Amino acid sequence: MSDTNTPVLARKRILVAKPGLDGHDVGAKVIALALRDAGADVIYTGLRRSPDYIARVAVDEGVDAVGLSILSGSHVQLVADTREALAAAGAGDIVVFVGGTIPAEDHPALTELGAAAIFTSEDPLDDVVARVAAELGADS
Amino acid sequence: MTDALDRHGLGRRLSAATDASVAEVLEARGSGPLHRPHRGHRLGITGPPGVGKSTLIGALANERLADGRRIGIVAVDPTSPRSGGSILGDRIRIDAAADHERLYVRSVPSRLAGDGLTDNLPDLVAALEREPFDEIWVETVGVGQAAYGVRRCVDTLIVLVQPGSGDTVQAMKAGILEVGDVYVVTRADRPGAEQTAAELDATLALTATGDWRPPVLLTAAPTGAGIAELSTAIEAHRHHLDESGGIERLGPDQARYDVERLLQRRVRELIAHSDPTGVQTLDSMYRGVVERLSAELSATQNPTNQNPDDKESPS
Repeated sequence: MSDTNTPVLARKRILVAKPGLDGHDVGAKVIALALRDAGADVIYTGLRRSPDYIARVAVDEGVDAVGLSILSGSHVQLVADTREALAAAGAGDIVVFVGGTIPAEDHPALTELGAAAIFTSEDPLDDVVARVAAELGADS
Repeated sequence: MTDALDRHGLGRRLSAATDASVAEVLEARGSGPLHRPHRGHRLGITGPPGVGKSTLIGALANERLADGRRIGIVAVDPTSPRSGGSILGDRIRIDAAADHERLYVRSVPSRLAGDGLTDNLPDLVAALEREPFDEIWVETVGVGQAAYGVRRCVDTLIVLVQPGSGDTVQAMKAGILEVGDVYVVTRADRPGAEQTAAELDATLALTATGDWRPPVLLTAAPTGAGIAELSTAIEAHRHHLDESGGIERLGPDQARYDVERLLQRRVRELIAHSDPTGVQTLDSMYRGVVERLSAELSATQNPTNQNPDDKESPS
């Protein structure tokens, strides 16, 4: 695209989801707004959604990526379950990102499970957006 | 779902249709007729932001899914004019009431559509109608002249009204009294709801034209009050359309809306892609349009200038 004003995530559809039992979604909402401000269409699920529900919404909404926000500590299990549910729905190609309170020692396990990138509150929003854009093959 | 709704394929097709340019839309449609009689029932739900559209849709879907229906919903949320992105949150409230495998919800951004709908709504609806749904519902953004756009895309239009939302003069100004098939005053438990409903009903009694008198209902979605009555009213309107040939009457306007929107979008595409730096091209485009309009106007006002043999005087 020659138009330099096109936002990096224009025309990308991204599901921001909160699996598991933690009840805080300020982080998820901040990420959702940052993605929108980069031009993405962001679908937000609300709190405490099951991996099966998240996979179904991702498929129904035809998204390019799912961002899982997890603060509960059970990120390894939830990422494994969500990836499995996506694969079962024939949508294993949907890119999965993970964000939240994720200790560094768990990063390799999540990468092994197929998380395309892992973000924590340390990461500047611009970096998060740039990484998502790069993973989705967006022009930037 | 028993006769296999391909959710993954449909999801992909709808994403492609949402972002299609006018050329892509025409290509995807092929050479079929512009207007085909549609299967199933198209339902529109509109009303101002915060009136409770998504919550009501969830409760109503729950009611109608219980009868074994399959429902496909297109829920439109606003596109941010600054980034072109959007936050699509309608389905949180819809799913809270009706998370069901016979329900399919697609969230779409309004893009450049200024009428509370989305750029390629006719194609999204057509894609859903190729699947085994009994009903297709459209939820509007709910700002501006939203009711007029959706009126031209659906068979039955439900207009939601806030309790105590000013007198009926407000409703008259907004034009909503002209378009609804069923009116719903939401939050029936709030003060002023019954009075709003009574005023609306009294005004409609005097202004409603045609052979369908729109009913005014009260609902309180959290308790489910009025939802069964709303479902019954929708059925009544559907039967009315079936009996009176209403679907056939609505068809041509649905097709006309489709053509108007495609032409408007094509004009916008031409302007947007004219020249990235703009001014020169836009200026000559503007002059060309003005000159042609002036020529057409003077020809209309004084036809003898254009055609000396024409003896008919302008009226």
